[in-house]
Amino acid sequence: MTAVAGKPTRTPSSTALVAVDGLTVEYRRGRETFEALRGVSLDIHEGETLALVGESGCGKSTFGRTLLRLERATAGEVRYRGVDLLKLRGVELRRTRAELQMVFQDPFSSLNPRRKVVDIVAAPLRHARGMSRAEARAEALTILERVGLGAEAANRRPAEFSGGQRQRIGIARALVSRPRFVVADEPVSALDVSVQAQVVNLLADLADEYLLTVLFISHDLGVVRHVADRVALMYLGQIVEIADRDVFFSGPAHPYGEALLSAVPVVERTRSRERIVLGGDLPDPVHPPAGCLFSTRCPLADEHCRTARPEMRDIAPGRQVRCHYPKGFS
Amino acid sequence: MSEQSALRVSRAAAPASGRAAALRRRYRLLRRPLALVSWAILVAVLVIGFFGPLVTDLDPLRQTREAFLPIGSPGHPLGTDDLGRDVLARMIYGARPLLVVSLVATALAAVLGIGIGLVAGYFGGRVDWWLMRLIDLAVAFPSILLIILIVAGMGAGETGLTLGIGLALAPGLARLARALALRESAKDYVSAAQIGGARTPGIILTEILPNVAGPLLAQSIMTLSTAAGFAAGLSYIGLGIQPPTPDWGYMVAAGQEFLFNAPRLVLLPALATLVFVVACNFVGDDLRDVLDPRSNR
Repeated sequence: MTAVAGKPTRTPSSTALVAVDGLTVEYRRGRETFEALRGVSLDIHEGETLALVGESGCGKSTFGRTLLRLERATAGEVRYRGVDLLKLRGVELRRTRAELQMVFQDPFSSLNPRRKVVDIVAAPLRHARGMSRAEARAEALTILERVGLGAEAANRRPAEFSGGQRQRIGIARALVSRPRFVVADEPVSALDVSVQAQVVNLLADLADEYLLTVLFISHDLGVVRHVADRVALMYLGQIVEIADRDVFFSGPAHPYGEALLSAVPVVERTRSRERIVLGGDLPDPVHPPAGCLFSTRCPLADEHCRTARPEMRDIAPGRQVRCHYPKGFS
Repeated sequence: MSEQSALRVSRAAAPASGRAAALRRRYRLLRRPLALVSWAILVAVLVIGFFGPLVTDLDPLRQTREAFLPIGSPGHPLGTDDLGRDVLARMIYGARPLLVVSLVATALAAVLGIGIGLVAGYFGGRVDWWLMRLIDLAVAFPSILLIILIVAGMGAGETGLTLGIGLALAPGLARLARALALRESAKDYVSAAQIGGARTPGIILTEILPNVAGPLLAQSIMTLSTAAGFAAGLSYIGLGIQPPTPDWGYMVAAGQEFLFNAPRLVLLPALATLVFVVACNFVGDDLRDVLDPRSNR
């Protein structure tokens, strides 16, 4: 990523483009309510790719979907360039949404099977930018070309494309309206490993080219290591660690991060790692543990952990962790 | 087995050029004689009902002194009735009121039912709950009672009958539309449309509706057969189309007096109604099979 003269380059800044504060999402299940997100606070810096990592069911997709107003937040604030997204209504909401886009996980259900590819890609321009059909189609063709699909793809329907190609169409749709912020919700986890890399690289290239800020939701630490600038680790609807990528991968402070990292297979075994196997599943979110949410599975948990819930705290510049005994800092 | 399914997959994946697809559809119809016959009957009844009166010079109302002429009489291929009116003419003219009432009632049921169902399924939550309680309320009355109540309120005749049948049949379509919309709304392409800034009516009509139109069309044709049954039945008991306008339902009622002397006066209109209703059902069935992507044709 070398700077070309006269062209702005994408470098992570330290100012937040999206500032999330105390975001809570509750679902009601009969008489019971459970919190999918438990007051998540997180800054997404302008120009960075922030990876949100966690196992399935931890709330990471809910987080991404709530930012874009696809799920209803129970409490909290999402400030985007000074505006609380959660309070927007009507025309303003529609206009602002054009700057916020999403790449979906499922390449099949995310494209309307009845519509032509060019119309799928052109839709955000028509609706949010108010372009005419002809203008929007012309733009759509340009970006389809950019994601590696030629003009002959334009008039076909999604069923004629492979998973990887469909994901390229989804990326084209997300970027056609020139958004500033994109949520990529597990964009490659449904793809064959052989095409995952291509799609990830495409997304990373386009993020640089369009100066995007990306929230990259994934459970695949291999992919995350490749694309992320920072990593946020989520467990049971809470952020439990935030760190720069290199710091995180050189040794997470939270025992959950350590366990996840130890499960990633490595090719060159320069130094052998001890694999930490977590016992059990995620606890029932309706009846979470009293103390630290991770205490039921944590190898380090003691009586203190089981009774007192830890707060998020700074342990180093740009590094926060929610643990009573963070590794290397306690 | 696996070879067969592979074949099916490759056929489905082939680009659907217009001509080839049309040919294939026709070929498939030829393999289903029941569907073919049903389509033919449906189309024939519609053509006769709407264009028959325009091309014949027979008069369904002219009374002659030649009452109860048998089938095959000169000038009266299907004979005459108790007032000496030509039965063929009455059969041809008698189709239209039934068709108009059942088609308009079905259209009403479709617009109302599908509209309510799509809105309920898309919005979910409280909107869904209230709309479905409204539908439950309508279903709580037996259809026939609901129709009779409305006809009683509006006065016997085609307008009340059409409205009554339309309202009585809307809930079935509403429930189907809701279930389909609920399923589609959970898909990401709907989220993508929301993020892309599409308006709600646009999302419902241009994103969701095209994906659920097949089953709804099939169900609407089935609804047409029910509507025709109700229309004929209620005309028979005198709540629908009023004499002297010829109508199949009313013809059955008028002819039953002579059931033993001239059974054709009852049998002809009754059979015509039956055949039409059954044909609608088979066509609906067939459409559902063909349009439903999960069926194995």
